[in-house]
Amino acid sequence: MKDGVALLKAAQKLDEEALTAIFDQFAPAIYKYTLRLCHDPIVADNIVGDVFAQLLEQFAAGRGPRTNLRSYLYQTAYHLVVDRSRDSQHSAPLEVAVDKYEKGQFTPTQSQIEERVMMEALITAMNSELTDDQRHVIILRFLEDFSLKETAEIIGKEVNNIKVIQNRGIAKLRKSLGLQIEDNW
Amino acid sequence: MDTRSSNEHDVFTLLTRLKESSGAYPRELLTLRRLKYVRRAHEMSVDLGVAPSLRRTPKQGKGGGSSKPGSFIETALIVALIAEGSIAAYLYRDELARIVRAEATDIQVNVSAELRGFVSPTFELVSTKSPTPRATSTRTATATPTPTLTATATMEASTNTPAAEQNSSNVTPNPNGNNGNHYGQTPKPERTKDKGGDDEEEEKDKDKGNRPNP
Repeated sequence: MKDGVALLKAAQKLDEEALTAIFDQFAPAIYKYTLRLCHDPIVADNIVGDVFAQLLEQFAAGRGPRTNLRSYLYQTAYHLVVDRSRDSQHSAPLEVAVDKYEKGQFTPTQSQIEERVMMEALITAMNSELTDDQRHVIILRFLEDFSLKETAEIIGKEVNNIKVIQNRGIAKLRKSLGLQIEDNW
Repeated sequence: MDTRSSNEHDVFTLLTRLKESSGAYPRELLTLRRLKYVRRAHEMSVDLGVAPSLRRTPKQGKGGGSSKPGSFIETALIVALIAEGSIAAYLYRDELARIVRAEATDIQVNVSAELRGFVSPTFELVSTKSPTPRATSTRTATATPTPTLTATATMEASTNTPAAEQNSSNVTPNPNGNNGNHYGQTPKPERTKDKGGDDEEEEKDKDKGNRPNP
């Protein structure tokens, strides 16, 4: 199996094997990221299609990523999500992510119930309390494991700005979770 | 209990757990999407495979990337052409010389025929009087006398010049040793006043007397 650089070089020459390997490697992650942002499996699937179509076009034109393919794909997905959110506002919560918690658990324990409540509270807070930038930064940093620099590249802001956005988002989530828990219990 | 649970479930722990939970790509959607992508990639790679071969063709046509055997054949052909031409010239040298001579005589005949139409110019030395400048000083009786010197040159030339002489302007005459430098040959102008220097001095004195003092 080819490493990242060799794979990218082969893909730039439109090597079919390399292009397929890139899709298999990154498509599920891009789908998950997009789904967290737009909350719609069909829209997420369409965005994945657009991301890889753009990648092919860039390679065919002799452009495209030279070093960090992963960051490039997330950046493309981010821009597509932002463009779509401008056209139509989606306000559905991240329920898709919680589905797995509910599946296959027939007799939930007390801790599992608490955890589920906390997860729902977190998802609700992410969808309702955070701004778009804060939500994107937190998803990229904590759910997709991007570094501050990579996140800054994807969002198109300075690293210091990303730090500020992240800290404010976390503070909002903490505050919101504390309040919601008090309300629920 | 409330504060304890909120402390235990920090935001970061929740986010880590949320990361582990995922909405997996539905298999049907993923398969369809992959099929479309692979088909598109295949089309693009085929296009790219055809394009370079098309791009290479005009480059070779330019001759910029000519190979060594090609240049060698080109040089050999040029050398062969030059050698063939020189051999042919050597074999038919007599005829070529004849042709060249015939051409040269034709040119001479044509030139002489053209010259027959002209009247042969006679280069005679026509002495014409050179213009004689006459200085006439006129005085005006004004408060500030301004002596004006008007020189009138009269050309006295012979009017009855023959036609042959007029034609001579078309043909450059033989200088016959006359290089056109007439220095020292120009006749001196005739003096219109008397040689007596007293009168001139008197006139100068008169002029000085009329001038206002500064």
